[in-house]
Amino acid sequence: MSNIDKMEGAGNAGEQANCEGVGSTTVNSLLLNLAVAGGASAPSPGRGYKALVCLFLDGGNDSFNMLVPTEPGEFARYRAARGDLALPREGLLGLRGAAGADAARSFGLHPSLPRVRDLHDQGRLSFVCNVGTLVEPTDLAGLNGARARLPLGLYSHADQVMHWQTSIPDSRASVGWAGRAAEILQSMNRDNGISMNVSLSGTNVFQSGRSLVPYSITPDGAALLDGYSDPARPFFAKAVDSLLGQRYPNVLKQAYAGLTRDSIKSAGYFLDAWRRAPRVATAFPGTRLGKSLRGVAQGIAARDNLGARRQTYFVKAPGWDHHDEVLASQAAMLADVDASVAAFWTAMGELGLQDDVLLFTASDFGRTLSSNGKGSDHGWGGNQFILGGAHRGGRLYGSYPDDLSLGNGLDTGRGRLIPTLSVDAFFCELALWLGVGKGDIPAVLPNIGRFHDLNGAAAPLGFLN
Amino acid sequence: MPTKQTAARFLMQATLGAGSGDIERACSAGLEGWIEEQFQVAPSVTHEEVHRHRAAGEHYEMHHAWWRQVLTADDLLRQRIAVALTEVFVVSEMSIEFVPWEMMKYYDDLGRLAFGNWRDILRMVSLSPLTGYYLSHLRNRKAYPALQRYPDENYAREIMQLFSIGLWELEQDGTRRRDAEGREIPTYGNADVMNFARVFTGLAYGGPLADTSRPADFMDAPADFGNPMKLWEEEHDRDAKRLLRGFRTPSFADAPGRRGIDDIEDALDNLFYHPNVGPFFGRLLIQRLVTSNPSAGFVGRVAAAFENNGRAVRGDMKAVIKAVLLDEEAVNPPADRSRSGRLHEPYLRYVRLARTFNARSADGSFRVSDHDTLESMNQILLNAPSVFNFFLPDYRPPGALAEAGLCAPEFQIMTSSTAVTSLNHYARMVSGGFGDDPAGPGAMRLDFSEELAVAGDPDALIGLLDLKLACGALGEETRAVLRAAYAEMPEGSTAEDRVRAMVQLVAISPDCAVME
Repeated sequence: MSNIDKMEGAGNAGEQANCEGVGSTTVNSLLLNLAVAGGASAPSPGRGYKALVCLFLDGGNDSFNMLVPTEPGEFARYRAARGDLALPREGLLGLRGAAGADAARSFGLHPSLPRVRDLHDQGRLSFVCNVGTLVEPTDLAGLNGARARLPLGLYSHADQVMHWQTSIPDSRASVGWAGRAAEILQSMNRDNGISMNVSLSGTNVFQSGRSLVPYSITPDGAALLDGYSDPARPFFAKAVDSLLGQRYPNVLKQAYAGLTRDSIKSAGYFLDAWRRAPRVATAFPGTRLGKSLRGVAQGIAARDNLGARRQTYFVKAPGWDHHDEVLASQAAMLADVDASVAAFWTAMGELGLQDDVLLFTASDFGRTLSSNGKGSDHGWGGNQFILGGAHRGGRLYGSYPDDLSLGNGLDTGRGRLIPTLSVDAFFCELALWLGVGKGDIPAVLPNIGRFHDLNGAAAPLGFLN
Repeated sequence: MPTKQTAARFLMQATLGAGSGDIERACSAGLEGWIEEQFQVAPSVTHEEVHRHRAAGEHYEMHHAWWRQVLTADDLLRQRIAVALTEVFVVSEMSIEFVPWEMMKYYDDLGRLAFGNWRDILRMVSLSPLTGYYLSHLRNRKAYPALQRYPDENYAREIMQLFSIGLWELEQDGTRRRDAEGREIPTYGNADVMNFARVFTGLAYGGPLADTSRPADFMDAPADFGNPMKLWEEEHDRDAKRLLRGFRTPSFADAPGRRGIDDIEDALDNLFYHPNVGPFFGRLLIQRLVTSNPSAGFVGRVAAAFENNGRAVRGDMKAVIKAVLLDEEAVNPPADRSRSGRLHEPYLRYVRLARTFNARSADGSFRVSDHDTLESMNQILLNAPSVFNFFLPDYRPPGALAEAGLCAPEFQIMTSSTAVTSLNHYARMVSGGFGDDPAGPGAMRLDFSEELAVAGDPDALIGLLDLKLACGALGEETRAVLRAAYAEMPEGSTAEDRVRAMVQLVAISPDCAVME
């Protein structure tokens, strides 16, 4: 870690300002700028590989039905609050008991998550409880008194998705925390025009930096230009190259031509690296999510060919906005998550990388505990999970509310719970693991000081080994 | 009579896509004549179609009706302006409950008002439940200071920042005004936002079941996205409010008979008469239709038309539209073309292909849902990621464009991936069927009959595509590349092969993607 920390010491705000000032439309030149300004050298073999995978459950997972309290008193309060949305206790998959302060409590998982339960019980997977976007630590008295500063657009999809990805809920911004992290870490990778932030779900805020965009791929690798490599039509690639390679006096045309040409070339580079990599043999579900996570695994398998030491991957699984049909629909979708995530874990085992990859879930918000008769509505705090050998698994981090009754001390109405853990603290630990130095954390997570003392001895959540 | 090139360039700005017949029509009518003709065409309607099919239990998406309109209706100019207005007065399906026909009602309302007065657009938008839901002035309650509860400020801020006057005081030519010390002057401060927030209180779901004489209906009336919001007087703030530029609304105690809607009308007037609207809105419309970096003179001429249509009417959209489309900077490319023009929006490049080549399906349906264009192009009608639209009007791509001091909003959604996937999307619609049923009877197919008729003559084929896809702007070098490609096509290439390959290459070319 010391090597990285040293390099990151140079990756301060000044360097980024420089980057922004002289940035260019291509990632390539951004990397050059970073390398020059940061004094970074080529990656050395000793630095190892780490990848952070964000699985975004888009729409707002009803996560108080994903992770359910089973201690009789807590369950009774859960059942009363949820009404017709309450899961039957006997169907829940019991989690191996927690040690320490929570020993008297017990929890169960949604019946669609048997593999997730097993990963938890094997110490590979943990839950992060009642986590959400916060501008500052917030309680009900402050909120009702309108003293608390609240995330902009609370309970709204667009804003909460944005805030989960920027970790700056007091503004509306398009630069995400992985984008800011990449501005510091990108120079650890080979300078080949491929961003360390790779997306299976297109453009996203999470991985967008000030002048750095995520590198978008598909489950089959990068998108090649149709017909560009068709041996029966050599005239086509030649004409495309000529059209995009001309000098255009008009700067807009020149920018369009340059960006298109670079994108076509990087796709070829990426796909070559992808195809030369060992083929992931693990079987994945044929669902969109399964295919996407297989794409992540195959991308990780190509890391050495790409010269990548650090990567993030972004996968968005849509359809979690269960205003109606929550019970049936969520059961099917969680089963897909269960199978796809378990396959991903097996694939990481196949690659020998279970200790070098962390997968975490995120979602717009938790949902109302009370029912609207068919489903649940937009809430706030919710529960997520993390998977990976680099963390102390088999636990619950943060604080799962011990009273889910409507009108409890966190309830802003209808069981929309004030988060007891900020996404900043959660992400801080992930960023530290990925290699962002403590001194650079405020550049990546500007609000962190409101939730965690970086100078203190304690880790934000303490899930890292 | 304008040349075909001039007419094609004009229609590139004034429509969502033009075929040969449209170009001929604009040539014979003249540009202004064509606009006047279009002003007379009755608005086409999409929401009733969506409502009817969905009420009958069919799978019918709002885009199906939209595509039918784009490909069959005659109100070409109105459609183009309506689409531009969706990118100014943004509501997004991404953040609103699934209400397809109501979304199209909002779109139809923008089209219906597109040739009316701007003030009526602002009013429709402000009272729309979609805007109310999206920008949270729906069920916005008056202050209860004892509870330290205050009205939601979201709409108050966005109506000023994005819909009407912007953040900075402007000269009529769009440049920022400065105070005596040379500093730019904000149009409003937070106290103004708080005052406007109090104006937009008391509105909640309207519709036939909502009774404003029943207090409980303010919170309990059923969600209705198809009718304007209604106002519950007891939830509306009744104190005096300070508007912009020294205007005030009276306290209800001092103004017997005053109602909540009067506050809203006064506030809308206050914004409507703000001198910023002409240059602010004018620049946004110019950017959507003509060029990313209009000269101060161009903005000033459009602002003057907004200020006075020649008959002392402010906000006449017909005058504004004419000022944008008939301006010398719009009609003719400027002498110095090095900094002019705009990158076409990726979604509209796709729509343009469909309309230029008159896409149709065998079974007469228009089933195009565009679920995939968000991923392949980062764009789809009425699905912006936020009220800030798909891209910002002042976005400057890092690199040469920023160094040249140029805005290029559309570059904000062009990524390493969509740079390629958007081209593949265009190529696939050129080479086969597209839409929800790409291999079946509902497959939408482009009609290349005009091109096939000249497929054996490369110069004629290139000339035709140049006119239809690039309004005659293909450079000599580009045409040479196309001629070489044509010559190098394999022996035995059919006329269809040749036409499709040439259309694909023209669609990729910078001369087609960017209008100078």
